[in-house]
Amino acid sequence: MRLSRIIMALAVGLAVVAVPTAAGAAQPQPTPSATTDPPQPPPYPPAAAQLTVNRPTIYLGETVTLTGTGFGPNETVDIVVSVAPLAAPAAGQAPARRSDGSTVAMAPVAFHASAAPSFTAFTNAEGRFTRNYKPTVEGLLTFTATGRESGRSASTELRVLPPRQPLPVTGDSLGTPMKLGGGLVAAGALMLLMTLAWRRRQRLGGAAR
Amino acid sequence: MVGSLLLLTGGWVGFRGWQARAHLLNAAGLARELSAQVVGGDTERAMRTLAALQEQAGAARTATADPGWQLARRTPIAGDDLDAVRLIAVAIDELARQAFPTLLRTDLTSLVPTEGRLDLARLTAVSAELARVDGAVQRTRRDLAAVPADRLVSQIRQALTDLRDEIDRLAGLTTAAVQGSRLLPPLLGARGARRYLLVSQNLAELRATGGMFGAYALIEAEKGQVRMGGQGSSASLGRFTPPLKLPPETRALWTDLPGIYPADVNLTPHFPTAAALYREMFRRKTGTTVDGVLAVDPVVLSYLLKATGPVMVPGGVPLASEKVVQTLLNESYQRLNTKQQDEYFAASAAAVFDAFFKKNVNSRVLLSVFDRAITERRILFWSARPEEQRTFGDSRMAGTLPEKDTVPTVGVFLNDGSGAKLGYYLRPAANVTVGDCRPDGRRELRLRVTLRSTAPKSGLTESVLGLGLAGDPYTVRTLVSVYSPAGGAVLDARLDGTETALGSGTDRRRQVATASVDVGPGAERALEVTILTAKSGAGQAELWLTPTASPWTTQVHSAPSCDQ
Repeated sequence: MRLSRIIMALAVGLAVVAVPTAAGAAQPQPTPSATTDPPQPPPYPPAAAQLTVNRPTIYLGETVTLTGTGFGPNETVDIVVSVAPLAAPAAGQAPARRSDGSTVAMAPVAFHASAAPSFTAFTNAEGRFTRNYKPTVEGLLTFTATGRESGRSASTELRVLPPRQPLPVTGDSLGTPMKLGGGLVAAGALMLLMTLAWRRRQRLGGAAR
Repeated sequence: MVGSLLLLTGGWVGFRGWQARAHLLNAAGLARELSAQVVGGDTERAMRTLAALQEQAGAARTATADPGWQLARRTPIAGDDLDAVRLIAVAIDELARQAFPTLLRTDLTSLVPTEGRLDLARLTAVSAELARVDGAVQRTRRDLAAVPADRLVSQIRQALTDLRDEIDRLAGLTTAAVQGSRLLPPLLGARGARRYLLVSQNLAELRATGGMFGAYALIEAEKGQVRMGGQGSSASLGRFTPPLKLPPETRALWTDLPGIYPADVNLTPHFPTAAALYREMFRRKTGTTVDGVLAVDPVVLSYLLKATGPVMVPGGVPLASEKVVQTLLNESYQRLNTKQQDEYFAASAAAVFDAFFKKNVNSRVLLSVFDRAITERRILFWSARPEEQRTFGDSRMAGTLPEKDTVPTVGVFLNDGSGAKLGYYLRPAANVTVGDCRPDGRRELRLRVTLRSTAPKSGLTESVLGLGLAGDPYTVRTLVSVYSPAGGAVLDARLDGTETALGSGTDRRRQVATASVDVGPGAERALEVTILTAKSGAGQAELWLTPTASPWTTQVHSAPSCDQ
C-alpha cells in the first residue's frame, strides 16, 4: 500500500503546505455560565461514566455489581434492563462446527424476558449507589438508571456469555461411558439377584432334602 | 542406447534447471531491490536494476523454453516441478517487461506539488499508465494462482509461495495506486471547485483520534490549485444546544458531548463520525458546506520540518524538527498569554508556509515523511461524498474503525478528562499477550496499559493546567477506552491490581470498556485488562492506539494458532 499512501499523501501535502498545523491550539473552550435557567450543557471535558459495572462481560450464573454516581442525594433510582441477542457473527464467518467436523446451523434464539426487567436502588447522601444483579438470560443487557427526583439518567451495558464450561466434555463423548457404566451396573445387579436366587433355591432344596 | 539418451536428456534438463534456478533467484532479488528504488525515487539506479532484471528474467525464461525441457515437462513425476519453474520464470519475465518499466517511467517525485499546484494533466496520464500496469500484474497473479502447488517438491513450492506473496503485495499496491490517481483529480477540483476543512489535532489535550480539534482552516482547491481560506478556532464555533444527532452507540458511550462541543467530536476513534460532526457544526455556524475534513497534528509538522530544515519565526524561537512538538505543545503555553499564543501560532504558520514555497524542498524526504505520518495515523481524511469515501475507506488514512478484523485487533484510545494541556507529559505504553485457547472457540488476550506522567509538581501556567478536573491541577485524568476485537468482549480490568469501575458499551461490533485513570506528577499507573476475541484461533494480535505526542512503547507477544 506504500504507493497508494504516497499518492494520497500528495493531496494532503498540498493542504498541509498551505496551512499552519498548530495554529490556535490553545483556544480556551467555552465554559458553561453560572446561570441555571435554562439548563446548561455539561462542561466540555468527558467525565467518567455515571453508571458503571465491575465487569463488562460475565458468564450466566455470575453476579455483576452496578455502581451509580452523580444522582440526587438519598433518592430512589429506577433501573430498567433490556436484553438483546449478542451480536450475530459477521457475514462470511465460518459456521459453528462440531468436533467431528459437521456444521451446526445457527438459528436465532428467542429471548425470554429477564426475571427482573426492572428494579430499584437507593442513593446515599453523595448521590451514589451500588447494587448487585444476577442475570437469568444470556445476551447483551442494557441497564438504564433514572433518578426519581433528580431525573438524571445514565446507562451501561453488560454482556452475558453462556455458562462457563468447567471441563471440555461434550454430550456425545459422555454418552458412551454412561451407557457402558450403566450396562455394567445392570449386569452386576442381575448377577447379584441370580446369586441370591441360587442360594435361596440351594437352601430351600437343602431343607427339602 | 535408450538408457543413455534418457540420461543425456535428464542431464540436459537438470543443467538447464540449475541455470534457470540461478537466474530466478537473481531476478527475485533484483525485483525486490527495484521496488525499493521505485518508491525511493532513485530513478538512475532503478534503470540499471531494471536492465539487469530483464536480462536475468529473460535468461530464466529461455532456459525453460528449449525442446529438452518441453519434453521433460511431459514426464510423470518431474513434469509438475518443471512446469512450475517455467511458469515462475514467465511471470517474472512478464513483470520485468510489462509492469516495472511503466512504474519507472512514472516518476512519482515529479508529482509533488510545486508552487501550491499539482499538475492534473500529468496525473491523469499517469492514471492511464498505472491502469495498464495493474492489468499486467493482475494477469500474472491469476496465472500463478492456477499453478497447483501441493504436489511440488518443497524447494520449488517455497519459491512459488514467495513469489505469490510478492505479487499479491504488488497487486494490492497497483490497484490502490490506480484508485488513488483516479481519485486525486476530482479531490483537487478538476471537475469543479472543492472546499475542505483542515483541522489540527492538539495532542496536549488527548482525544481518541489524537488530540482535540483546536483550530481549523478552510482550503479551496480548483483545477489542481490549492489556496488557503479563512482560519479560526474550534472555540469560535461555540456549542450546540440542542445537540447534533449522534450515532446511538456513540451517544451511549459519551453522552451528548460529541454533539455539543466541536472539541468533543472525536471522543470516538472512528474518524468518519468525528469529521461528519465537525463539518455539520461548521455549516451551522458559518453557512459554508465543505466537501471533506482533513486532520493533521504537530508531529506531522515536525516530520515536514525535516524536509525543509528549521524555519525562522519573527519574534519567536525558530521552529526545528526535533523541538517543534515541544515548542508548540508546551513552551508556547508556558511563555505566552492567550493573545500572544494566537499571534505566535499565526506567525509560525506563515513562516512554515513561506519556507515550503521558497526553500528547495527535498521531495524524496517529503514523500517518506507522508508515508510515515499516514502509517502512524497522524494524517486522516474523510470525504463527504459517499462514492469517494468508499474508494479509500479501508486505507489507514480514512481512520475507519473496521467492523471485522483480519488479525484480532485491540484498541486503546485515550481521552483527556482533566480539561488541561497535560497530555504532552504522558508517556504511554501498551503490551498485549495472546493467551489460552478456550473450548468455546474464543481466545483470551491479556492487555497491559501503563501511563506515566513526567509533569512537574509546580510551576505550570494556567493555560496548561486548564480546568484541573482531577482535583489536583498537576494530576492528569485520562479516560482509557479499551476496544475488544470485532465480535469479542472485555472480561475485566484491574487498575494497579484492584478491580476498577468501568463504563461499558459497544462501538462498531467491538465491546468498549472505559476506565478513568488519574496519574499524579512523576507517577505511573497500570491498567490490566482481560479480553476475548471472537471465535478465532489466530495466534497474532494487533494494537490500534491513539497517536500521542510522545510515541507509545508497544509489545505484542504472539502464540501458536489454536488449530495447530
